[in-house]
Amino acid sequence: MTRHAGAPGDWPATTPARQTCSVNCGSRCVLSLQVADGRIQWAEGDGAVEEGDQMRPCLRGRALRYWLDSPERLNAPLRRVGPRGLGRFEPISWDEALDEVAERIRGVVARWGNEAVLVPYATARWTASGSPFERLMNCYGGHLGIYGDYSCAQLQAAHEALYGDDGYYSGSTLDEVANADLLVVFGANPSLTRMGGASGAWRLEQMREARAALGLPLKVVSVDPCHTDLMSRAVDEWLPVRPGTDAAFVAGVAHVLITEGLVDEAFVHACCIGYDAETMPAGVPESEGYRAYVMGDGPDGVEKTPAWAARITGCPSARIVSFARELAGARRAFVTQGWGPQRTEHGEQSARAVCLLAMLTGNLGLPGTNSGTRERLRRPAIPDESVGDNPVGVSIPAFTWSRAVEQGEALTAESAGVRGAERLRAPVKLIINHGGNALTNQHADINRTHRILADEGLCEFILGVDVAMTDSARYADILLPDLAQSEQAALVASGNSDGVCAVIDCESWDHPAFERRGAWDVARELARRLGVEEAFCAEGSTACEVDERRWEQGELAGEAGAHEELGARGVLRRADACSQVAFADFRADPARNPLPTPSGLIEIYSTRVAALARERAQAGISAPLSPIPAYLPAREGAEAACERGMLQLVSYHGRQSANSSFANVREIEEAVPRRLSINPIDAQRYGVASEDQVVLENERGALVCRVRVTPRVMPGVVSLPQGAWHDADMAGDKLDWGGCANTLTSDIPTAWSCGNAHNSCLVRLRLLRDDERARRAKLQASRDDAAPGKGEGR
Amino acid sequence: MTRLAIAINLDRCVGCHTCALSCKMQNNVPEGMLWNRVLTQNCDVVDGAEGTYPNVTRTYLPVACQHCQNAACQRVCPTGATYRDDKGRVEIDYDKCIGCRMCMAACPYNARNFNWREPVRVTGASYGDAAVPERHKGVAEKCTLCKERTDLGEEPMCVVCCPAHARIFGDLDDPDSEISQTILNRKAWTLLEEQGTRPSVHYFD
Repeated sequence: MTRHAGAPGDWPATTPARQTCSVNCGSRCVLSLQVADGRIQWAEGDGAVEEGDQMRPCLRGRALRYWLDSPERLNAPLRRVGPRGLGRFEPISWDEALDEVAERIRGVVARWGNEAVLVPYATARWTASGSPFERLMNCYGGHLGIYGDYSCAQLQAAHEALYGDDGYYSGSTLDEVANADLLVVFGANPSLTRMGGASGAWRLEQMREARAALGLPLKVVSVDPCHTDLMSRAVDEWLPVRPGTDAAFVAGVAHVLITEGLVDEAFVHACCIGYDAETMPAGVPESEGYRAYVMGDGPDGVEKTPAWAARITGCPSARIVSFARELAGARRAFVTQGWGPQRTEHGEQSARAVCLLAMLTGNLGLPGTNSGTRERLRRPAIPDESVGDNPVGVSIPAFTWSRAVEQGEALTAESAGVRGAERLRAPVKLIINHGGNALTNQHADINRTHRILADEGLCEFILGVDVAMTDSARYADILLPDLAQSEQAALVASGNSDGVCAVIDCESWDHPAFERRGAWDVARELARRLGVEEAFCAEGSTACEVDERRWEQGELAGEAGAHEELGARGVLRRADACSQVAFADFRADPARNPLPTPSGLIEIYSTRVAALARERAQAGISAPLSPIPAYLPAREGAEAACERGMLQLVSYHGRQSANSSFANVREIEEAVPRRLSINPIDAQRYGVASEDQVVLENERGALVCRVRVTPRVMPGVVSLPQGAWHDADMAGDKLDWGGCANTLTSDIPTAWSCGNAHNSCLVRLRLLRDDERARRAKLQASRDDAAPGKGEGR
Repeated sequence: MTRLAIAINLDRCVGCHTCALSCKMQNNVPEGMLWNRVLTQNCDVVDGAEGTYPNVTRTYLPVACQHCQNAACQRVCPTGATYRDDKGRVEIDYDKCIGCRMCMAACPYNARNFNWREPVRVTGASYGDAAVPERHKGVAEKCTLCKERTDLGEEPMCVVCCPAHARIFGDLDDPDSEISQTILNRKAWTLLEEQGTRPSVHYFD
């Protein structure tokens, strides 16, 4: 709608521009930006359709103006001056910048080969997962590939072992909750992580209301170190467990189920291998099965009683017992997990163990049940931008790139999950980081990673392409200013968490562009300089032509009149396919519909993991791996926390930002301050009160944050929203005043899937000291004095 | 008569604070202020919980001006700057406000902000609906029930933006309106009833 022509105020009438925010939150909500004088004056949401299918943006989408106009926005191409990583730059022309980048790419490929070029994990440009720079490199001989992600690498490996697929698209849809009387949630908080109007928060509420309207019960049990926002009804129950101990909790529950005869043995015997004598794979003794593990008949000889589980998890044994009975007594239980529990040192074990609860109670493959994984994601209605084929067939786990920079050829298939080769042929010498903040901020162990990146003898050149001076952008040698997705014309599919199938025709609008350029055009310019422009443009010579190709390949393209409807209305939306139950076909007839596992059945005992453990042992690599979902104590887990007198840190997705996108917006911080949650018992022990500034520290680093004292977090655990922008004097004390959790987290990959174990992190806590405050004040004063235009990040 | 009001379903509210942000954007609310805040019942921190670990409960409580029928702020205003208009909204005439802040002392809901200095905006310029009047140093400000929108028959921003569809907007004087029916059927209540302010904003679960 166009509003208020001639109204009082300093700016003229607004014109609407249809857009989305396109960050990595799982939703693509519809925004109607009200634009005047080249600025977003305010934002209307999705008002085009009846309420149910609206994709209403959350507070972050509403804050788009603050983000796009932030002082951190990049306006001109920059070249680094001074040591790498200290964030000092000088402006240069586009021609100079592009010539130099092309020259560096050419030089590194000539000397080290294409395998030395890395396009790391990056999710800030999310309409189309493929980056034009990835396409550029694929046209120019390829680059070192990455596989997996920072979201759920451990869960993918675990799910693969159990069910034979990565778990993204095989869980039940949330609509199935309407058929359940018990919802069991491990480490998931859809009310917070999926706030978009078509996403989990709203859909779960609809399920609850649907049950209530029919007079049917729906109890929610949350197994989590924190009391989540999902817990909003009197009947809901919180079972606190220490981070990383989910598998111990499950073993305690399994003990009750077994000893009280509550296991659905008919289901387990028909559909699973590796549980008891009847279901062991050939050549594997019964003592290696899960039942033997729980009953103390396994190699460790320890019976996993509720009391045993209580000691490890911190959850009282009486509550473990009552939960087990409740789960077994439920008519239908929907067991699900978020991605927090698996983001631990033995997250593959946690992830598999949660799924086990669905199997042992037969709550799988029937209406109202789930496989124990996260609810089913939705594939985008139009495919990602094509990046072409990568002629370099070698890839590494996404999280291990800094080791590929540091150790290069030492990374092997056995030790580091290298695929496509026995070992890397070259270290990473050139990085193209487009729309990503995972070089430092969203990676791990920032101080160690800083040392790797700052060493110009290791990685020779870093190209940064971004909209803002993020912490990762500060490591670029050449830094190019991108247009935000929300400023450009593009076809955007509804998000993988949205409960609708939609395509949004996003409009460009009149905004001050300074010297910013869209990434597609920049990559094409580089392609021209590298002599591969023709190949680069094979599927379209502009971003719009590429979008046309994507539309043609999308699921709605064949529908008569769909294209016209998209043109006329700007948003094409269809109700999502109805409810889907995970593995319903398999349950109905396991012989006819086998799973893609080696046995065709659910592998509680994974022969693949057993083989992997043997390979590692033969290669002389000690790695704690278990073929069954046994509990394995972590180096930085609950037991170590007690022994060392440290706190366990959970870093979770807060409301303030989508990963690090929007984390620099002060207006959001005003509404929802970013705080470290600490239990009143610990607050008393450490002598801190709400709003106190404290230092969290460990052997890797130290950060400053403010405290919120609340019983919402269990004693011994502190929780901090991740994504805050790292802000430290890297030439000085490295104390992170931004409060970025990854100053503290470890970058050691997990033993099995080489994933990120951000939630296995031990910390100490103390009050901030006056000398630290004084040092900061002095640094701030010197920053304020720094000449403008030198690109001091913030 | 017309008595415009909002009723908020606390069961649906997930505490996302979208209403706080949208309101700020719509109404050009300056740095350091919110017209619309999401509190947690009986907590002194944002996003807290009640009770003792591990037996805790939590209820989010979005609070803005309650548009009281017996508005304490209006009764103490010495200049008539604060008034109830013909649609039942409590509004401020910024030209008449002398900055005495009696209203802020009187309001039991802490719904008002004061411009102690010339308002500052991080973006360096005003934003929001151009029809919303600018406020200057020395005046009080608060939720207007999106006067500029509701005058045109639109719903307030906090109502249309809510991703959880937790808010209902309508006329309390129309017994058949959705809001009147909901208040009746869901046994809605008002905040601090004992203060006798008779708020128009209702809550239910």
